[in-house]
Amino acid sequence: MPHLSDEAICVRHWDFSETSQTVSLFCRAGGMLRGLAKGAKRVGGRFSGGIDLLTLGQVVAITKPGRDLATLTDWTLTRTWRSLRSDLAANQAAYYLVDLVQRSLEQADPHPELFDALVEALDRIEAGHAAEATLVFQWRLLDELGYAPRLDPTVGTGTSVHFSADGGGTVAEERPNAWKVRRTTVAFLADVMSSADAAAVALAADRETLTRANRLLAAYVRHVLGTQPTTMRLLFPNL
Amino acid sequence: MLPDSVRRLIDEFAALPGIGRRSAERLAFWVLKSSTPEAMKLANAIAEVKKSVKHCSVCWNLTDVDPCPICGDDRRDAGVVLVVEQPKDLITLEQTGMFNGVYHVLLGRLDPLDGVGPDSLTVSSLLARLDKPATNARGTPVRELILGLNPDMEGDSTALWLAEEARKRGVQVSRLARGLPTGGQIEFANAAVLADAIAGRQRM
Repeated sequence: MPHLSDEAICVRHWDFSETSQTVSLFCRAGGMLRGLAKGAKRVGGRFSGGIDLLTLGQVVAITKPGRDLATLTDWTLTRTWRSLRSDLAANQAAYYLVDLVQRSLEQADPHPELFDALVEALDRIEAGHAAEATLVFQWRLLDELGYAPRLDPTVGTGTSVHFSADGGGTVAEERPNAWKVRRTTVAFLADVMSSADAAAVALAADRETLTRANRLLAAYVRHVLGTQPTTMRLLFPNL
Repeated sequence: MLPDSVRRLIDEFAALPGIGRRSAERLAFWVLKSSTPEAMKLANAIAEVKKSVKHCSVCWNLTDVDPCPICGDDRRDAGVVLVVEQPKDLITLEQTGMFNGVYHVLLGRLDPLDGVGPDSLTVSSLLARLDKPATNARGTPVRELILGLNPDMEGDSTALWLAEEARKRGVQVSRLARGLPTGGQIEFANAAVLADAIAGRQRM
């Protein structure tokens, strides 16, 4: 039976019994892993007293071919983000990010760069930059999954640009269901996406442009997912 | 091999939390071995509890009188409301004998990943207690809300949301302390517990 040991963030958990949990972990090397942690909630056990959502740890698990559910044998909590438990805006942003992860990725499909992007985003949220973290992570997720929108701020004329979710980004002419977005928003997003330091570009932006860009990417993510998750509604109430 | 009625009884016991098939069989055979009055005492207790126990109209605790004995007790400070997730949390806290206010049972907690929002809980009733003193225990205005939710991410999310709502209404908010358990050892505490203990240290 293959053993795995990996760095992981808990993106979903359910009570299996009074003391056991089933969890979805986003592992750095292995991708999504669903597992059963028997006796996880017992204090002083091998699971640090339970595997909580949005915590980072080192997981050890046994996987069996043909089985969806691994058996977790150890979880060592290595990192928590305190602001997620003391600041509502930080909490809602972090929920949205892990919701995107658990909705977008399949089991055992590794995305180490996206894992690092999630850790970076949670660090940025911890530092008080929830909007910037959300923007950069939405972009990184879309890019990693092959859905990065095409952004050309020079198409068409005037102060607005047509953005077609079906067409995969900005389009030169008006199309049914295309959104009218500000040229400045598209130009800003194009800068973020082409920059080697996307976070620095996002941090330098004014609040209004950042909000507009976040909403545009969220609307596009909603189109890609085919649904609007509750966590998205909490973060972008009037989307 | 077994009569249908016995098989049905075993099935019912096996559906209880924490009861496996073997334990269910043992319980069923205990019922068969016991006298009729003894077995009926169990059956009547189940029937009675389902008939008479309801939720308190003020705090949503389980009770057979409305309002519940805690909300109706005029020796308790109804201006301080301790919010918990489930009736079993209320019982655990009440057993400490350390709290002299009243409670509010949410009957769950917010869970955005599962689509559980405030409408699925007794939040509107709690906010009504803050807005209209007449709906609180003995018509007392609420001065302080103590958030006694489980210290996991869903509990903390619920606490943050409720704290925001309480602050909008000018009600003081606090939450239960967290950190090292009495009798525990630092060596065996996890990183999150230690971080909480350091952040919540007390002056001596």
